[in-house]
Amino acid sequence: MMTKLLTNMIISLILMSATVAIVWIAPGTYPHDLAALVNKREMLKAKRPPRMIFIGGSSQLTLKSPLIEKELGYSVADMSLWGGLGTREYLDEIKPHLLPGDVVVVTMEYATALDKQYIEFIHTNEESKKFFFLMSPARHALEYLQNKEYFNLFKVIIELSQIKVRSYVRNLATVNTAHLFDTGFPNYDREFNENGDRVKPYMIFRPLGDTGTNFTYPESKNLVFLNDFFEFAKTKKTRVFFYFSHFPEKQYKANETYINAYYGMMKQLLKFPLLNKPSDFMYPEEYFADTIYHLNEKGEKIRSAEMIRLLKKVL
Amino acid sequence: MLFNSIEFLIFFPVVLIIFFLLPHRLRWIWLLVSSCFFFGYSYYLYNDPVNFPYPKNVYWYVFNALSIISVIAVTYYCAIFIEKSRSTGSDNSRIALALGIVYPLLLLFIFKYLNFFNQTISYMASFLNLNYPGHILRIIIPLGISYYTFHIISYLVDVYRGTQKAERHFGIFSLYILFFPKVIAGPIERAHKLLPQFHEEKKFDYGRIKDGLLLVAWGLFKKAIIADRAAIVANEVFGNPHGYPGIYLIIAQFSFIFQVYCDFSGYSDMAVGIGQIMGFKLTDNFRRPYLAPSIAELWRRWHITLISWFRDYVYIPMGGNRVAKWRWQYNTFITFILSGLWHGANWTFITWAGLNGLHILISSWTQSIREKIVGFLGLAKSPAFYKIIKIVITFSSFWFSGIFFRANSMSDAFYIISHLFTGLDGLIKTAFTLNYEMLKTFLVIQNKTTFLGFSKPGFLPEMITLALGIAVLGAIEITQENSNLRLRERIARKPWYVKWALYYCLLFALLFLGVYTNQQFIYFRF
Repeated sequence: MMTKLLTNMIISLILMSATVAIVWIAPGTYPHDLAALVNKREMLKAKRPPRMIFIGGSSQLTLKSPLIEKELGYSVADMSLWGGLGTREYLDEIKPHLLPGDVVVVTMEYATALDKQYIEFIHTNEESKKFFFLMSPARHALEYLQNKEYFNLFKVIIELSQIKVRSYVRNLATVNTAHLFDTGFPNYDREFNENGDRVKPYMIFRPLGDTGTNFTYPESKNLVFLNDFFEFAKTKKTRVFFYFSHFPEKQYKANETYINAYYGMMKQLLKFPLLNKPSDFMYPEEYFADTIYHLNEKGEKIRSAEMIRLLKKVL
Repeated sequence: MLFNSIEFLIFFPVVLIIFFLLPHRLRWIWLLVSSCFFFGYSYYLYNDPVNFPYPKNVYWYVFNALSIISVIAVTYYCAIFIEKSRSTGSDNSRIALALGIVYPLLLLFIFKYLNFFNQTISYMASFLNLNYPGHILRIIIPLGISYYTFHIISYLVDVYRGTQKAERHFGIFSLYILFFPKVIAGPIERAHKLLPQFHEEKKFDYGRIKDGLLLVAWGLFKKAIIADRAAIVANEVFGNPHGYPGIYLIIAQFSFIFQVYCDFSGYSDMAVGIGQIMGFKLTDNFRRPYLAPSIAELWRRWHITLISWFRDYVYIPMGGNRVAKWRWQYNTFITFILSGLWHGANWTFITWAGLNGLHILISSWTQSIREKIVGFLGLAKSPAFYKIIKIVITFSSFWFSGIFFRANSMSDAFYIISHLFTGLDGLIKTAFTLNYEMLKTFLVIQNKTTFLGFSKPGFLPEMITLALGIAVLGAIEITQENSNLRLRERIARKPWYVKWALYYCLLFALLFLGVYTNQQFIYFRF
């Protein structure tokens, strides 16, 4: 009787393991904002070189990439998604995809450099880790195995499979069979253009959301990874630029000491060119949409035009 | 330690394997040690070491441990004393009974109700312009105190009544109180049912273990697929009811009503299943309460071991229904109020229970009028349809009273009730126009990055999964309600491939559709 019980339990285990493997391999969408990383990775791979790759948070999502493409003659891949993903982690993800002649333009929202709590959150955020795993599963799986984090590896695979199965459930329940086996974020094509820019402008809300503005002085240890990336990019014959993100006047003035310290540190620290100084992208509140990070249509037009001008100077 | 946690997934197989490897005479020791570990570890996890850091928590651990040990010891000796006094015809048995009951009740009062009474007196004093310093004490409540107190009272009363022999084995008696499948949230087992089982030798039985495993899996289905998913919606809206229009308050209350049922009945199924795997028969705590055709019937199917406890040790001793009508009404209402108070030291629970008691009384007062209406409408001619109407009315009443159960305060509860229909007229009118954009203006919650607690892209898949989970639960319960056969017995009669297909579906649902964020079981806090 004991043998029968054990046999049945082993059969169940094998069946479930096989199911997890099938779900993992089968194409399907992940109804989670961060799943757009998969679509962005595919977009980057499909772009013909030379490419201009924008790395940043949601502040850069509304970029007018087609205009930049037209003005500068590069194929633009706007890889931006969410500041909370972490620039260091994101740059690590794009390393295998860099090609000679590429230009990488990096920006970091101020919170990701000046708010200690937010920086801590970024580097410990399990959600980001999970979706970065989806971007390059083999590399991350190997890391987990090397670090002997077997349970965490199992957990990530199961959690991602769960999200995919729930997407199947939704598509089947809503008879959306045409999109049953899409990949990445569901309806990515409706939300992003062929360059990875967000199609819909952000909604206008007042007062502006201002989470992550508990600023302190920057620490160089949180920024040296940029130079590490630059050194790597050099070996791939790729150029790297950094620019300071836009910020509303009011918040800029309230945090001027810290922002200036940040600027001073970056000027000294970075081995690659800075495109602007923080005050260049200081805009009135009327250019912003819902938060201090997101520009509205008007603000975006001005920022993109300014970006083209700055890039033209250095390219 | 939660039944749906990784820790328990390691703990239970270890306990089980060693349990069956040991000779019968040593098994009680192993079960007692395991139960003490389970209780202590659960206590540690439940009482948030961050808020009660060392050394403060250590004092509480010691104090709580001493309280439960002393309660077990006092009850053990009181029961033996009562039995001996009864055999000699002495009147001292009453004193021992009173001592045995008052001591755990006193501890229960101090731990669970002192702050509540203190606060209530303070409110009353300030209302009367009197000065009363109502200090709130920061107390760590012993886990499962409401449950083991009730175990103890029923045991002592049964010994006093002569329907239960006093247990002479201190270890086995301690195990009766601390047995890990039921120590934290029941079922509240009567001594005559559980105590003899510790003396019987348990054999390894494949059929029984498989049955138990299925029950655990079904309990986990209710907890992980329905309760913990519904909890996300309920917690979001009840956490900030002022931020949501009526339609979401209604949705949140529906979510909560399924959450509370699936959470507790899921826990109870797991407890019964775990007991069954080891060879112990624990009492089923729920019997499809939402299919009950009357509120009285619903309460006979809801938390059965608690309600039957109140029936046997409060309601019947007060006279039950064999008294004058006014007295029966009083007995009923008081029993409900006490059951509300058992759930928590809060006016929301008392109101919730009071409303249910009131519903029973109103049902009794209006019985003849209702019979006339039923006759006039001819509903008696189509009993199935009439039963559905009764089920819907009973469920709606329970749904409504549940607002008090879940609301964080009385003022929140009144706010929710008064805003249930806010914005509903515009929503209904717009729904008929099929104007999606306009409909959205009624449904969008401004300035929120999430939707009812879920990420925006995750909302629809999660809600569909929740709806499917509830549909599966409903289909199974309706099938069970209409046939006397248990579901597991029905499955056992199917060919092997049908059985395996069903097992596979259950495992698939648990693995891929479950929410495993380690949400506490609601009834742990009682």
